[in-house]
Amino acid sequence: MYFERKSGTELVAPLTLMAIVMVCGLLNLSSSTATSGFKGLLARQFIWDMFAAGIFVATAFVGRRSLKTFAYTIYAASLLSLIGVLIHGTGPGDVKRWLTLGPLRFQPSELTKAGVISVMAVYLSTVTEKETRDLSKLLGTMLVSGVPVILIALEPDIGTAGVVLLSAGCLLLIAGLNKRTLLILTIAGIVAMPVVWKYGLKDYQKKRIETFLSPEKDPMGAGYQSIQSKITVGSGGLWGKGFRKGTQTQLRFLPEQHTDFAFSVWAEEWGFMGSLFVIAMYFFLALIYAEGAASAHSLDTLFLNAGVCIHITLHAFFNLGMVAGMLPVVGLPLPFFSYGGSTAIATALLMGLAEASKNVSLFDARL
Amino acid sequence: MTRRHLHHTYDVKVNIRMAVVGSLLAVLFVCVELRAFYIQVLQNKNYSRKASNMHQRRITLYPRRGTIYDRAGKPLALTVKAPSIYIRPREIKDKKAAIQFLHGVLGISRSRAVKMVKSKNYFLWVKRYASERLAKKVSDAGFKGFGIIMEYKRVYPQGPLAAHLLGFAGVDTRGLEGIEEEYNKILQPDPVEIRIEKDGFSRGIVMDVDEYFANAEGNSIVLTIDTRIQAVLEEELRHACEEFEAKYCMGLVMSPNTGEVLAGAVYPSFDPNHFSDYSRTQWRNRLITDVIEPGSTFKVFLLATALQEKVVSLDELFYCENGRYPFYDRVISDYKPFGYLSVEETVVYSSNICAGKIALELGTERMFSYIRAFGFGERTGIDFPGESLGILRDPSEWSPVDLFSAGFGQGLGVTPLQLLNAFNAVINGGYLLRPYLVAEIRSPEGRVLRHTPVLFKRRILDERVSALVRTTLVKVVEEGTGRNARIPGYKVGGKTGTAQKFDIEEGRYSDEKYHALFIGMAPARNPKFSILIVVDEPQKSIYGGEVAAPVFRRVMEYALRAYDIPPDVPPDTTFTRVGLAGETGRTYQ
Repeated sequence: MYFERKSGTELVAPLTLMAIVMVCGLLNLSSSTATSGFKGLLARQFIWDMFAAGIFVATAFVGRRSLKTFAYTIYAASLLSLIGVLIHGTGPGDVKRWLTLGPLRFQPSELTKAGVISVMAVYLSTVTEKETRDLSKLLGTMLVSGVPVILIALEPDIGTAGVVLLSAGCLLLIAGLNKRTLLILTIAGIVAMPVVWKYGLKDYQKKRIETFLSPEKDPMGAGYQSIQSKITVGSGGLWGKGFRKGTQTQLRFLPEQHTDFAFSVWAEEWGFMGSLFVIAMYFFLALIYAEGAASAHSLDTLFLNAGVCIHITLHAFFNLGMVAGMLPVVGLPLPFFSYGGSTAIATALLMGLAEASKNVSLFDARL
Repeated sequence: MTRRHLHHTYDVKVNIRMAVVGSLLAVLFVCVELRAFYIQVLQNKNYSRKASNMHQRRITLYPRRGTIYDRAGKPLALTVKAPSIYIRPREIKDKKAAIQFLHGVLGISRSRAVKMVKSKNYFLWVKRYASERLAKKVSDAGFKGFGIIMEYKRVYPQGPLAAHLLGFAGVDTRGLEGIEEEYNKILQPDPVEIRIEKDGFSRGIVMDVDEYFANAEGNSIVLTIDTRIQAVLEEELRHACEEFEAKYCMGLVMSPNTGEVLAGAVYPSFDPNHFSDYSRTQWRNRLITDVIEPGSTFKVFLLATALQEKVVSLDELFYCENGRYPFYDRVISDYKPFGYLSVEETVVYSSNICAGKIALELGTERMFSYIRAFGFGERTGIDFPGESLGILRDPSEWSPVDLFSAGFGQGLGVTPLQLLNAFNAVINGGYLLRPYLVAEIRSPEGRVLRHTPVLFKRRILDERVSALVRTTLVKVVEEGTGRNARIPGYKVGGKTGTAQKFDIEEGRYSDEKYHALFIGMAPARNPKFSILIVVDEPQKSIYGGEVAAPVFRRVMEYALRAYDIPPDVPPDTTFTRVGLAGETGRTYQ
């Protein structure tokens, strides 16, 4: 592996957006942990953020020719850790999501997001368009994404499994599917839904979805988080209640307020304007990579950039949708904003790869 | 640079597909943004209200309830302060220790304690009106999330005394029965809703209601009840009930000229301080809610009606058929055979047969209209909840047998209060009054806000008739069935009654179950007190004269003495007065 890059100027825009979101996230974390006992969280998150930013920059200098190796390495590592988490993982109750390595704890499923998208991208870039319509090649891509999805679903973490599947699906759509395949997949999906509902989902997952459909049915039980989050966000108003002045937050009515529901704290204290600001950051970030895909000179650049765009958009959509009570409680974090390192690092890695694919290499004979 | 490389393997359609996926993703951003706008800006008011409901707990506090006094100013119901313990489950840090404390120290069952501590509520009462000892334990423990509110609590310093009249107030000092219920609005000022924020609670572990109700206090009530007579009445009823092994006993003491209720009791009684330990039946004030048959006491009204209508005169003779009189499908009998009895003697010796014949003389229409006039089948209008109407069938349904037996009080149902109130009208010169229990309503400062006036309903009898009936009633006590009611020094009038209870299950009058009654008054010339005693299902004797009259006598005797009523029996004129020693020639030795 060797580094090569014309200049670092192209990294300025994504790095700035990433940094803004991270600062917002840190501010928010200091507010949401003000009344609870978690003291060391802020420093830890700062270190994670710095680390993620570093990974982004470092990965951006990966040579084009090493991309493929790099992607498959991430993919293999994530698969191994997924198997590891099923054997040795920890989590709340019977759920196994975390892998502990010495002082570090990380979520293999987050790394998998990066692994699947990057491998899908490099894989799709090696097949011609015609071939993507070939069922055998399609099966290959399905296998690449399907195996980790199943492993994640076994943890169980249906939200993450779903978003990985969805990201892979979007990439496939861009690669092009013929109408028949699309139709078959759609029908298969519809047929699979009740089967998955009956056999694939655990009771608490069914309950979450049912709760989402009618949260008022059980306001103190399963629907509590959803209702509380909605109240927290809604009570923020246009300008918010002010930094560290969110009553819902400070009185700890809202569970999970520094992790998956971190954004509701932000929305309460900074209001609609604050929400708009952070959502805009994600939009611009997604836009950078959409543009990167649209102006791509090579297929791996196209798919990697599109993959990052899809990854960021889906996470923003599902997390914010959940926080705003628009979607069921799926448990997806907001990259760079929610507390935690795994998501930030995986996203940074993915972004870095997309940037790296744009590198012009003197040694790259094909261009 | 052109997209040579791409075109090599992909057609231009990839750009279209990218645009499609890109637009879909853009739509997701728009969705999130619109949603945020909808709930944060458009629905902001709604959610803000919900949020403030979350962190502000509204609790309802009740200002100090007014006192209930007896007519002499003795407090019968008071409001004191008692500590109530609550928890704020969300603020409890050490859930395990809290559960242990609730269970071990406060005596909450473990399962309930777990439920309370894990509750998502912001505020929960643990124990209303706890003891000072428990409250001290809570404040000493100083658990975060535990607190005490000094609340008002209703207490009844006299215990079970007059419990059936007072009723009681429960949690939140809300009147639930009796006077407490009837006068709840006057005694209890409107509750105040207090919004308590987290900060408001954090000030201290003990909060006092007085902070919120500096001047708010309910009005006081002064009852017409005289606790001295009440105590004697209750004691005598208990005595009689035990002596005759009766099911229950009740007594009512009134002032016939005003309609004031001076005492009223049902034995067995209950302690309003612990009302929940007793059954609903035990709370019931049978004097006002229950319907009994008046039996022979009803002959008083028959006599009054017949005299007022001038159908008979006191000395007119009736043939009493020697105690056995087949009448239509029934055989009427007397407790002992009589030949001819005057109208007066009919009442004095209580002949059912002659009374029935007098009723026949009156006829259904007149009989019924007087029964109505005396207030039977109509609420007396006493200031007490749950009053019964009594049972009075329409005269169109009356057979001759019904008319005949109405003469001795069979076939109609009256409340004890109706009976004594009608009796008052007979002896007070013919005025039917509204009975009442509350003499005055006073402001917290003691100013009289309302003084209950004597409420005259209608006049039924002439003074002459009333006086004749009184004379007859005195004869009942002096010569007739009511001799156990005699009080030395006073002319006492009254009437006994022994009513067979109607057995609803068997559909006929019971041979074993009786009500023993005595209704009477003293002093006879101008009665100050009237008393009704009812003993339900006495076992050792069934006769009103034997069971109820002695109770009457002792209560009446006490009342006369307590109110310093001068004796009205003139001194014996045949007795020669002992002169002064010097006049009669007795000398010092």
